[in-house]
Amino acid sequence: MNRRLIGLMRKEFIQFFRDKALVLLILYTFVEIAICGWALTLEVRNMPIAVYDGDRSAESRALVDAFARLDNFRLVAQVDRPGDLDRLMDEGQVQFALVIPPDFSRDLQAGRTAQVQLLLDGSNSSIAGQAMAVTAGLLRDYNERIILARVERVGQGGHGFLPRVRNQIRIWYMPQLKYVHFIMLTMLAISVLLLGVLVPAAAIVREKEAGTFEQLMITPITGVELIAAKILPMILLKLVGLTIGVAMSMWLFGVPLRGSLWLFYGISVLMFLSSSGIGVLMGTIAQNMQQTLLLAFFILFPLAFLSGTMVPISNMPRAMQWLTYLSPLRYYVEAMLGIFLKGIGLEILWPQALALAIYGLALLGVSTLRFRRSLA
Amino acid sequence: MSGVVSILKKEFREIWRDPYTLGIAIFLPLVLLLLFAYALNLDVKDIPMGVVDLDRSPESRLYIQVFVNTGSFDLKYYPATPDEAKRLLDRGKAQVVVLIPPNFSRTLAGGGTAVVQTLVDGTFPTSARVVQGYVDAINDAFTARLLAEHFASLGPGESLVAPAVMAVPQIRYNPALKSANFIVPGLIGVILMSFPPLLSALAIVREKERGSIQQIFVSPLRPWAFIVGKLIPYMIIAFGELVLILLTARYWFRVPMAGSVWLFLLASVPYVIGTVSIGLLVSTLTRSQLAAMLLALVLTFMPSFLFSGFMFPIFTMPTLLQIYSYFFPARYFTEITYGVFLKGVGLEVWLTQLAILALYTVALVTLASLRFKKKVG
Repeated sequence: MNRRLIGLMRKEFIQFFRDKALVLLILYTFVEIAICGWALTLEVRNMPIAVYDGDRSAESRALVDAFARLDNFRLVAQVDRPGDLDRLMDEGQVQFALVIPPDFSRDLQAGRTAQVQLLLDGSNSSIAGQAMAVTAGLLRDYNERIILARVERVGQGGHGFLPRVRNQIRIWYMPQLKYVHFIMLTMLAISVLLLGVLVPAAAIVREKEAGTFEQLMITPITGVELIAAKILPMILLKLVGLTIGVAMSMWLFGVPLRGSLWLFYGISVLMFLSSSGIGVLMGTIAQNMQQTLLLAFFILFPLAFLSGTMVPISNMPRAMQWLTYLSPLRYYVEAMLGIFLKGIGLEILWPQALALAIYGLALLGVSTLRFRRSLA
Repeated sequence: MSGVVSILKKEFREIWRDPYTLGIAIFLPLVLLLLFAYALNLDVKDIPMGVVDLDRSPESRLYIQVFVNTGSFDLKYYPATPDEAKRLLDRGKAQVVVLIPPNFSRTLAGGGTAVVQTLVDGTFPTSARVVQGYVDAINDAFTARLLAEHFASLGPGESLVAPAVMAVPQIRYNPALKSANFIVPGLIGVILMSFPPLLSALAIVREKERGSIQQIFVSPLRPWAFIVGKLIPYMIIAFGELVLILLTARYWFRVPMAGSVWLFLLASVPYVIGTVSIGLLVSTLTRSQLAAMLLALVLTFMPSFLFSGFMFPIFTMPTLLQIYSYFFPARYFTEITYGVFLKGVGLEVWLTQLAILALYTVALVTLASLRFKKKVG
């Protein structure tokens, strides 16, 4: 490393760390991830429910108990009139209500299929769908017990002759389907992208606005050196932030690390390169800080969106699936989930690493060319 | 008063001269809306699937066929061994692999319980959960048919295996369970909370960075006139965004509007003033535009996205964070939005939310102006 580059980097370090608020905010971004990990989940848990029991029999109470016992639901109201349920739902106090008709126990005892009604707030379709699935599971167990008892009572076919299939579902990589593991990792990835793009872009535009850019241009510093000096201090800071984030995920939230931490850091540096590439290119295009920041907003959202962090890629419309290949975050998230949760290594993840490297080098190359052109 | 007008004129001229900013302020919300509404479809379909069929009997093929017939699964792989199946999951090629044991048909013929295994890739917990539900339902249907056939062959026993309790769901407010009906209205609060505060914060911090704010401080202009003149243009932009989103929601995504649009606009007045005031507050706390943007993100966009109940239901959060969510106006606004769009409930239901929103705004404006004045003094 030559002295020119070192001098330039010293200047960048000093300049960068002078804005204390900025440094704190960057570190805080990684801390905020922890709040998300703690709070956010897409699974139905503690969902407030209300019940109208028109039968008031031992059977109906047993059914209500079965609902209330699940972690998914929390019984908040038992109403005397079915009409009260409407009010509770309109006010948003409950999203789910169970109506048990007066002839419930009579039907059950007679061996007829007893019907209960579920009122569901369908606004949030995925929550409503999950609540229905939970109910289906509950009734499956309930019904199976009753059917087995009936068959046994009649003696027909006997206990030993019931052809059935049991499907043991095993969830790989995340046996308890802990949403927190997923969200910690993806939020971390999004922060890497966000800061990776914003900070270098802002650093370049600041020089432009201050007019010091011209001064740098007439020094013997080359475009490559300039970019390297701008990027390296930030990469160091981001590595610190990333380490905080990873440490929190692993120790506070129990995110497993099944693969190699070194591989993860290696791929993270590649991700820093490609996100800096986007940022530097933006810095060469935008005229002032406001434009830069708004442009960053404009670009970051689609990039974050098209990565599979908010929606699994396989759920997207076909055209959008193709677009995801344009987002470096896609490769990074795949690598990250692969290393942490699946424990896979470079032998599977090399395409992702390669894509990130090419992405970064290509963008940084274009930016250097643009610098040179503005020099000429 | 003339001070306000001249600041207004200056600000408008600056916005106008920078069509780039204006364009982003108007089009970015639309881009966001389209991205979210089209991609945020959590209905799972065409799940890539593999099958290890070690039985190769008519029964096992029938079992697999039930999966294919639902249309939710895309059967693409036939790995020969469980190890090969695991590699498919590792590479992310298949999301589900069903393993049928060699004794499948024999066990069923003997009237026993055949045990099938299904491996589900859990890296995306939401879709894994949905897949789990599908697999359970498919297995139930298959077993119910087996039992029914078995008892029918024995004579009049079918009623024995009929379900004892059946649930009849009645879905309200969004009976088709269309995710766009939820996503698009929910985004209104988020978008209004992201761009207007950002723009207004940048507008003031920009003058700080340039140093031109000093000139304004030494001029006879009153601080409040400066604030009002600076903020009004961004309120107008915010309302423009609101109208644009409303029209797109209504005529492009065909989101139903069950309640009164006027009540909704009424509720958005305090919300919009509030969002722009947060921008003002941010500008008093930061010196550089980059720091202002990050702070705006942390104070406005993130909480409105995460804690408004738009994507993540509030009732699942730990109590402490449920309380935390009360501190952000987006929560109240989003409740009103769903009330108006999907439920069609009126003022009588969300009067509390509206009152809190108004109070919130008054507090914000006061706080921001006080902080701003202190800087000037």
